[in-house]
Amino acid sequence: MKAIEVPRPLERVLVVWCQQLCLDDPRGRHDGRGRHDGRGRRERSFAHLVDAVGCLCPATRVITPGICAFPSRAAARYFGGEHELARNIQEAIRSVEDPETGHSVTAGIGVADGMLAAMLAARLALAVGEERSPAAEEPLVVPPGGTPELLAGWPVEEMGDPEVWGLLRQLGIRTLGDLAALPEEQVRARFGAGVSAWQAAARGLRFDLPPGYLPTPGTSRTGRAGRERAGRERAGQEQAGAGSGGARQPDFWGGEDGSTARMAQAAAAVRELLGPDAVSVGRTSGGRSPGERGHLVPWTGPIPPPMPAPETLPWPGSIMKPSPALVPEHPMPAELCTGDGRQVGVSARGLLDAAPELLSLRGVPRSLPRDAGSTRGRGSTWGTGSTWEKVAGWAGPWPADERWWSPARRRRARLQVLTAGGDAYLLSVERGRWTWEATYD
Amino acid sequence: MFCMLVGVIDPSLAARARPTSTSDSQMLPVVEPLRTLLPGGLPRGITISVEGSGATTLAFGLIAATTSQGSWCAIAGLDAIGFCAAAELGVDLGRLAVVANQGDSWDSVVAALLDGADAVVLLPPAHVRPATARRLAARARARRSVLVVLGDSTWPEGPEIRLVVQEASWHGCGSDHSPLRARRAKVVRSGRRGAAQPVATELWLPSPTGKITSSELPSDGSHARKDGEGVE
Repeated sequence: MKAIEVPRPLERVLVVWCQQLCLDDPRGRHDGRGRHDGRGRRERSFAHLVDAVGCLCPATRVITPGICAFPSRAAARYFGGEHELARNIQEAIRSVEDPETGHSVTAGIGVADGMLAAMLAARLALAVGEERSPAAEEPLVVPPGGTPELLAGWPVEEMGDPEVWGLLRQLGIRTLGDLAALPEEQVRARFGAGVSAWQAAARGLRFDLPPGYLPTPGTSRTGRAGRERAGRERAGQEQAGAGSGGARQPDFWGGEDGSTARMAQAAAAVRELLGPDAVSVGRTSGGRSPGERGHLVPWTGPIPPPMPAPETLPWPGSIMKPSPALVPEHPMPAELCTGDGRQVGVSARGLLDAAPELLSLRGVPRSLPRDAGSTRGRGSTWGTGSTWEKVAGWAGPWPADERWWSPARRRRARLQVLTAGGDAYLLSVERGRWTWEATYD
Repeated sequence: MFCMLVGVIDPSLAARARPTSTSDSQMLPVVEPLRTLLPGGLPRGITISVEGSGATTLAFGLIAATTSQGSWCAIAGLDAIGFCAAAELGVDLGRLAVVANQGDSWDSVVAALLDGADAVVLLPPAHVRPATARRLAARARARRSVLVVLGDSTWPEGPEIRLVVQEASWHGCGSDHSPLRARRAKVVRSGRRGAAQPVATELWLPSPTGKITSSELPSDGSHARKDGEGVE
């Protein structure tokens, strides 16, 4: 592996991250005394904090409410080292009060090469300190040249833009370390300047914050509430980015308009809640039964999966329009009997051997808008545990000899059944077993 | 440049030539046969429930025009979707996001989908707390999207509009064993505030082509059919 060349060391930065004074700290919403009140007091406290830090280093600047930073090289030399500098900063901000509790604020302090590494170090210091009992924040000083090592483990979600990190994840690039290891020219050529800037930051070659990065105030991303909040924050940032129309290219990955971009954000939020395959898009393709002709394609990337050309060729043995509106992913067992309880079969010539009079759909899942038949009071219960409905009429059977050329050959016949309750079903029979394939709801 | 053209060309032509974006309008479009029930379309920001035998077909019909005009819709909680039927009803499947299995955090999922889609069709779980229902209704109102709730039995809050399918009867599967051809049904609209006055209309839900229509069917040839002619 080629050694990464560092032309000259990056400027050292010290970041102070005070979670309580972030304007988006969720506690402000529940303080019962009105959000504006809490917000104003937090702003004043943060001004005190910036003053306190600024007394030690006049070059302090505010990154966002709750977070400030300054170049630390000269100050560290004055105090006799970065650890000593960080301790002095920590002492200085003890005088700042949390407006909610009246105690002094807690803040994470990180020192590292470049803004991104220093901010993440400060966040890490805060998160580690919060887990201790009693909570005690230790400044985190990343040694010079240690940025790639610090950033290697961070997930690409840190990049903020779900369209970008979604695509990277889809390509198997899960951490900033993975991104740093890719060839630089190809990253720039394929993903553009934004991702290239992130790569440079991950390699410890870039001082400024990469584009699109907004410090997310939440330090805890574990638990359902944290994940939801993170998803909302990202969506909010997305909208802010789209509105300003700056360096972002919302339609770059193939979305035609803002509508798709908005849905893509929602899909990303849902995937974050439920997992990568939670969102899908339906497709129709060739096939005989409704179950074969419709299927789901998981929406795994930043854009919806592409739509194939519509199937126009006829399929022998397919069921004609109108198609059933409810098609379960897996057909469920059913029973179709004559009035005296004998099961109906299909003869070799493809005809029913008896007139069906009773239908039982025990396996119909709860996911239907109504529990087919049983809750509507029309079906009568015969025997134990199964609900029978009277058959009012049927159509078919339509035999289908599938894949007769291969060992996977299947001979089936399909039957439409209308019950006395007015519900219509599509059933199929194979080797004497009936299954429920669809409901015409 | 477009604005310059508007000044020169006949304004009515310019209005028609404008891209068909529904995002700014107060209403989501609906297919023509449903306009008796929903004059002007589906008002944004409301909760609408669709009930009765045929509710799924009617729900697909409600979102069909929105998807075909390029807006996104989503469907959540229903893991038995007939995509062929949806496509026949006019739904652009390329504009319908599907979350089949929502798990325990279904309310968060629906809230996220309401952020991204103009309409969300929801099959709610068995027990919904009133506070959750109110929260989702408020979310739809804030995001100016429409929450379409399938079935009424589990939804604790009264929706702005209720559509109930009544007296549904299939044509086909009769004594001649001809295939299912179409379903005639009465759909009754009721609701709160402006929609309080009930309106009823007879619809083919669906017609033999799979679409929703209100007109009479072309001559009923199903009685002349013999068994097996349903095979295409």
